[in-house]
Amino acid sequence: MAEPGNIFEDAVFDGPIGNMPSEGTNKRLLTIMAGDATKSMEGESISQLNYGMQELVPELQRFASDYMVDLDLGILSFTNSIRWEMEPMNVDQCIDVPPIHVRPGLTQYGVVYHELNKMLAKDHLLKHEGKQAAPVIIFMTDGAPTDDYRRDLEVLKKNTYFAQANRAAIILGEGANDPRAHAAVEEFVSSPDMILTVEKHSELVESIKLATLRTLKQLKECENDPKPDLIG
Amino acid sequence: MPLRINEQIPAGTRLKTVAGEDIKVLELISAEGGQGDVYKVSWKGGNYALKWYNRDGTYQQCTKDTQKWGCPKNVDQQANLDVVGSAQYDTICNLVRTPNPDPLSFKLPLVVVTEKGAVSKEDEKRKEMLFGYMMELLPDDHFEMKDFLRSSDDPRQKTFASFHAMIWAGMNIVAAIRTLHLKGMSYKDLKPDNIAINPETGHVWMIDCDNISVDGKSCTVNGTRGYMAPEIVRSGFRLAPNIQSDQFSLAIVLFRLFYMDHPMEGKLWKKFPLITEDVEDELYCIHPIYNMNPQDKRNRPDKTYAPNVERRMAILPDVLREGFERTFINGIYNIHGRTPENSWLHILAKARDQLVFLDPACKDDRVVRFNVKEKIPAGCLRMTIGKGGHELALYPMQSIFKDIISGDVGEYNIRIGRAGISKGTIIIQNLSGHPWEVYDPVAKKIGTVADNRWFRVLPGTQIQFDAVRKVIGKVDDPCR
Repeated sequence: MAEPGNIFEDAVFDGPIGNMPSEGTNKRLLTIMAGDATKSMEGESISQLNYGMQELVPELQRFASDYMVDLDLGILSFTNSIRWEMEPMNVDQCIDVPPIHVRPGLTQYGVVYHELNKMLAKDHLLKHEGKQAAPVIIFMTDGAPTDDYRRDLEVLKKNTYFAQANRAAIILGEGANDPRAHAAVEEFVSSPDMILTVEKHSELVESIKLATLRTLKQLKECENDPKPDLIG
Repeated sequence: MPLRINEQIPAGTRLKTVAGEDIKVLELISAEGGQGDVYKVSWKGGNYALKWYNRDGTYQQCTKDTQKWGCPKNVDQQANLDVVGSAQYDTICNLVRTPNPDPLSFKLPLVVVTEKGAVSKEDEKRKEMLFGYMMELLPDDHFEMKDFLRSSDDPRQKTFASFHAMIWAGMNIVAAIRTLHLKGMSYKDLKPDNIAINPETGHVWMIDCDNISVDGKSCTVNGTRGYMAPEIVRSGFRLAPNIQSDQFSLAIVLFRLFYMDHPMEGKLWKKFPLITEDVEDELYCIHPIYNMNPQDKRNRPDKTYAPNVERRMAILPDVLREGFERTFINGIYNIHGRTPENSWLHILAKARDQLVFLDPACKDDRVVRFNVKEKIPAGCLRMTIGKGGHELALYPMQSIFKDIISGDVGEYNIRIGRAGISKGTIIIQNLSGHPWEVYDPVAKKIGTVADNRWFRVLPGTQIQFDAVRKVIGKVDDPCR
């Protein structure tokens, strides 16, 4: 790297300022949506979840452009197994969002936590040269876990990227009134305030957008914090 | 149905000014603001912009109950209420009553708007009340400075039509902030989002002026990360923004206007795999290192973190660097060591006078570096003005501005002369309103050039612009 004083001789551009190429330094923002694909989701739940994510994409594209971030979106589904429905990719390149199909298997949070711990690493999903914001993870389920997820969760909580991530959750359908589901999800999210419960299916699409965009916007709005106390 | 926090106002909704006048919401313009949304509204037969405060930093669930949606770090509930409640309301009411310090630069609040109109001071619900203010709409030919910071592959990128427009934009921003500071007020949240620029002319509108208040008075913002002054973050956000913090923010804004990148971003950032708020506070404010600091190479620009600055510095006038070094080296710890606005206007005037248009339509321009002789346009002369040695590139279509003669930086946009060409020789027209004394090196005579008259200029020509102050411009050929 040349130092000031001699770098200026390296200049090759000699045209009008408007033609000068500009390179961006946007922050990369990884957003992962983890959706429950167990049989209990069959019907309205899964179709609305898919529709919600489809509607979310153009809003994320707008968000990324407005706030000048490079937003990578990844979608994974879980039962007692994990499936990456869409590996993280720049949201501008998302033309169609692959739907989540329900499949046999029990609701196991542990498989999600295990996968997140594996993938939230510098040599996997966080591989990026340049500025990178804390990831955003949205967890969507309609029921309490059937597994003993705590060991995976404990390991995951030691993952620095997870610890810094902004984590929200949507509990839908019958899970909305299930205290066990609430208690389990509460251990995952950044704070208890980050759980959105949706009893009515008709509200799921809007809730997915609300949860994701609010969590993302919260990151940006923190840049303009009101002060804790007013100074007179 | 009453409007609620964190919810957008539906088109067609009717609101009222505090004087009871009707307002109709037409459409959403922007939902990007940290404090509220901006709408196009109609009022008294005209269209205006309405900023509506509807953020409280918490997000209420819109579907079911009052469950809250995450409170940003460092923000407590009382402060949140104050943003939408009484403190900001009082700031806006004060601004509505304050004469606009520069109506050609600031879009200040015109009138306070609520759902139902008048609000009494004793109104107990005032703290929970939603409100906003109206301002003039931004003309279509102005764009947020943020859009000038986008990369070439971003379809929303805006670029300056010329170096002139870019430097004029810088001068106009500085002049606007200076006007405010001269009135004893400070802006408090200066950043690219709050500045709209005409890319052809460099004219600037200062928008989102709702945090302006008398310097030292309370306010509901700290500024914005990346633009906030170091002392605010170091104080744990206890210090309020003021004139000195505006000067820090101003230098960052100007740096980005000219060089795109952030002055504190460089290779040091590689050490941080995640850029969290804490990391930003550390690198922007607690231990910032200016990436072009000649004495400290630790945070040099690189292709990832600051890919534009070196290339742009290479083509823009070197004099600009003075102002940045003063603020980003001396002014980090010493808040009074930052480049003040009058110094910026001096610096920018030097940069302005190094620019020349290469065509009669004033579309294509270049920076003239007198020390790089092979790049000087053929026939370009140099005029060195006054004891300070201010250099002006003399070329057809060039203008001479009053500030360099009078020494009053506020006169940076008053043209007192212009250059043209006749029979292959540069000529100047006196537009000052006063006669100039001109020494002709061929005739070896001093003559008087009346207002509006043209005269030829050759190496050796001397112009006395001001007989009282004896301000003289001496012309030479920079290629010799």
